Amino acid sequence: MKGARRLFVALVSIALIGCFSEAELGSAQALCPPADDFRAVNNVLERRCGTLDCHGSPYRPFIVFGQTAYRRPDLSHIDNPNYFPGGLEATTDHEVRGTYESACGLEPEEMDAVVRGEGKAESLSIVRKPRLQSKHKGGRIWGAGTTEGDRCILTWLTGALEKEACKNELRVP
Amino acid sequence: MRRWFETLHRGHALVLLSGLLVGACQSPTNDDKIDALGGECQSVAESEFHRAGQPCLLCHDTYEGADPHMSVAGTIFATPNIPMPVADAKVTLTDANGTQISTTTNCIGNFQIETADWRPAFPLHAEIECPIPGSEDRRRLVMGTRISRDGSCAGCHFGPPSNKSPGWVYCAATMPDPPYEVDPNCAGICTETSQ
Repeated sequence: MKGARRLFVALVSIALIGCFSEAELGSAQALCPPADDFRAVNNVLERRCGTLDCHGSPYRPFIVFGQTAYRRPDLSHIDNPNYFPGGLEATTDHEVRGTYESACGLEPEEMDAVVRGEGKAESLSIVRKPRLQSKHKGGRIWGAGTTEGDRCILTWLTGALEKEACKNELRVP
Repeated sequence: MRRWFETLHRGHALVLLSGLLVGACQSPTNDDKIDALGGECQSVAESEFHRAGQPCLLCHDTYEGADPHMSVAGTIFATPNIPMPVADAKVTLTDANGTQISTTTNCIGNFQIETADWRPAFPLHAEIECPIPGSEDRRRLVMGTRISRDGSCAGCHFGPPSNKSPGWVYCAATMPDPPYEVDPNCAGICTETSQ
């Protein structure tokens, strides 16, 4: 009898939740590190992560956009499904923004905590995966704290981007 | 329910368990991709000449297990918009350890490197040297990015250039004069397709 009552309460609760619209549920805002200088970070992500067989793919939770990654149609061409800028057009601001939003939206709560200083950047997948501290099909991209690429990402996450580290990473073949 | 379990023969249970285990190893994504390749061309034997332009490793890798297992394989075409195969194009790959391997395309433009010969450490650097019709010279083209993990060229390079692909691996932006030609006796020429 008790079980039946519990089941009834659960079903009613599910039905009620189903009646809420998105607006009634509200939205939450999550903080992300500054977007201003993200192009420097994007350059590194594009080179190291953005090939079409990895994160330059719309099928990955974390998508990297750009000239040598997944091309993102410019807003002015958004309605044209066949628009293709080709491989010669440099990475656009719209593509940089796309990678930024993808990076921020990957783990929004954790990212928010990192920006607020309540979480560690090292806990984020964008740091752990290339270090191979989490399972990563692309393998180890760089070592923890020992490479410029790692420093580029870490300093962006902590709000003190070292652009030089990002540039130096691109000098590595 | 309990009675059903009690009457379940041990042999049946084993079969059921095996089925569940086998089912757990299936990848719907890979299965869909393999199904999308379509049937075999009836006029081409299942050989190094078949399925030009398709992602070889979908089948010739550990998942599908078709022999031979390949580490890198693909097809080279004449131009971005004309899927005419190019024979005798040299493909050179260099892996993350600096190990290098070269091979050439057959008459249908296919090349393959088997895992028995090379197990590369990704990412890979790729370049091709294409023959130029009517000339002894060759044209060298270097891939602008690395191959990060997919040994099938056609995993990324499929169809004409589009939002989803940089297009086939090709030798020339436009068809040269004299043009590339395919050996009419090539075993890879498909004259009919099965559905």
